[in-house]
Amino acid sequence: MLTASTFEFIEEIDRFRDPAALIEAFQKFIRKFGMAYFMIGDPRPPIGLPRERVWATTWPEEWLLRFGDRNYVVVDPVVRQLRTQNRPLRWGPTARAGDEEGTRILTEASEFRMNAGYAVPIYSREGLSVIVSMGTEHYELGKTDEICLHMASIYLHAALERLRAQNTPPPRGSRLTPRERECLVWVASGKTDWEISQILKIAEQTVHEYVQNALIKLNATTRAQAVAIAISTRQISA
Amino acid sequence: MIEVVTARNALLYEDALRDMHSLRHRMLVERRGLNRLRKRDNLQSDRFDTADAIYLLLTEDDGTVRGTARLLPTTGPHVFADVSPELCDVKGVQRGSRILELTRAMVDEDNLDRAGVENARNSVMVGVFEFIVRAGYEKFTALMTTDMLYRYLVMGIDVKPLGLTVERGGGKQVAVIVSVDQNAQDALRLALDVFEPLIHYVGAPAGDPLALAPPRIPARPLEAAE
Repeated sequence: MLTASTFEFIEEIDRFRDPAALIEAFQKFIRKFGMAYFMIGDPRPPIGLPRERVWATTWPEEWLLRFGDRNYVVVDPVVRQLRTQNRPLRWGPTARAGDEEGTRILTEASEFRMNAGYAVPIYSREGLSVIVSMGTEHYELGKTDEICLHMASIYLHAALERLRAQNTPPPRGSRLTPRERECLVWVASGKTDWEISQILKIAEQTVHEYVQNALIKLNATTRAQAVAIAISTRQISA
Repeated sequence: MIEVVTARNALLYEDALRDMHSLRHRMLVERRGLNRLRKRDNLQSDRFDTADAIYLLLTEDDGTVRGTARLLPTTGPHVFADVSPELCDVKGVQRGSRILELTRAMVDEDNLDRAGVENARNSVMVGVFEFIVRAGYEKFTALMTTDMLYRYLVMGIDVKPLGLTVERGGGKQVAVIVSVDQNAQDALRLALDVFEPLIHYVGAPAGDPLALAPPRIPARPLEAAE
C-alpha cells in the first residue's frame, strides 16, 4: 500500500545523516509509484551569490548537462507554470508549452524516456524556492499517489536542507547558538558531556557536537580556552 | 503579551472573550466567507467552546485582542475526533493527557498591516509553543498548510502527518501532530526572532490544575566580537 510506504518514508527520514543515502532512498521510494527519476532544482534567478542549482538528482546525466548548458530552466514550461502556482503540477504528452522552445524541451525530455511527470514546488516565505521534479515514461499516478509524492517531497527537501545546514561547519567567529552556550556554561562549571546530557536531557553525542561547534566558532583548541574566550566576549557570563 | 484564559479565570476576561468571538466571526465569516458559521450577534462560537477550552489571547497593552488560539484537551470532545476524523485516517485521531488540539488560531487581519499580521502570527505561534512547554504538555495536533509544515520542518521541529493532504482554503492542508519541547521552542524563537516570554496566566484560584512552570527563554544571540 503506497500510503503506508509514504508514511513509513516520512517516519524514517530523520534517521538519515548522509544526503546521498537519503537521495537513494527517495529514488527507491518513487520507483514504487512508477517514477523513474527525480531532480531537486533551484529555479530562482541568479541574483547575488552563485548557488548550486541542483540540490539532488538521479536524472540521466546527459539530460542534466543539456538542461544546464542550454539554460532550459528559463524556458521550461513546467518551471514557468510553477512560478505562478503553489501547487504540484502534472505534465505529460498532452501538455502544451505554448511556445516553440517549451515544446522542444518537452520533446527532448522524451528522448530520455521522460514523457510525463509530476513536479512539486516548494515555496518559502520569499517565494518559489525549489522544484522537486519527477519524470517517467508512463504516467500511472492516481490522485492519492500524487498526494503521497507531494508530501514525501516536502519532507525530503526539508531534510536535505537540514542536513546541509548541519554538515556545513560553522564559520569561525559566528555566534554561538543558545544550546551551544548552555552546554559551554555547564562545561565551565566542570561537568562532563555525560553529566551535561543528564542535566539537559539530550543525548551525550549531541552535547559533544554542541561543545565541538562552540570550540570551532570560538577558534579555541581546548575547552578551557573556549570558556575563557566565551566569557571575555560576553557570550556566557563568568 | 498572550493571556491564557480558562474556565477558572474567565470572569476576568469577559470583554476580551467577547472580542475574541467577534474577531473569530470577522475573520471566518466576513473574510473567509464561511457563512455556515454566521451568527446574528456577530460572535462566532461552536460546541467546542466549552469549559475545557484553553484560550490564548494576544493582547495589546490596552487589552485589545489582536490574535487568538484555542487549545482543547484531546481526552475530551475535539474537532478531529468529532467533526473530521477522516483527516487523520492514516495514523488515527490522537488522544492523550499530554496532547492538545489547536484550532481557531487567527490574527486580526482587518486592523493590522502586513508587518503587524506577520508579527502577530509569529507571537501566537511562539505563544502556543511556550504554553505547551510551561504547562507540561508534549504535543499538539492541528490542521496545517503544507507551506507551514515545510517551515516547521526546516526549523527542525518534529511534525508528523496524521492523514493525507486535503484541499482547504484555496490550498493544501494536512492534519499533523507537532512535538513541542524546550528545544523546539528555542528553535522557533530563534527562527522568528521572538525572545521575550509571552504567556501570562493570572486570576485563577489557588490549587488550579493548570500550573505554569517559569519561562525558559534562550538569550538573543550576541554578535561575535571582532
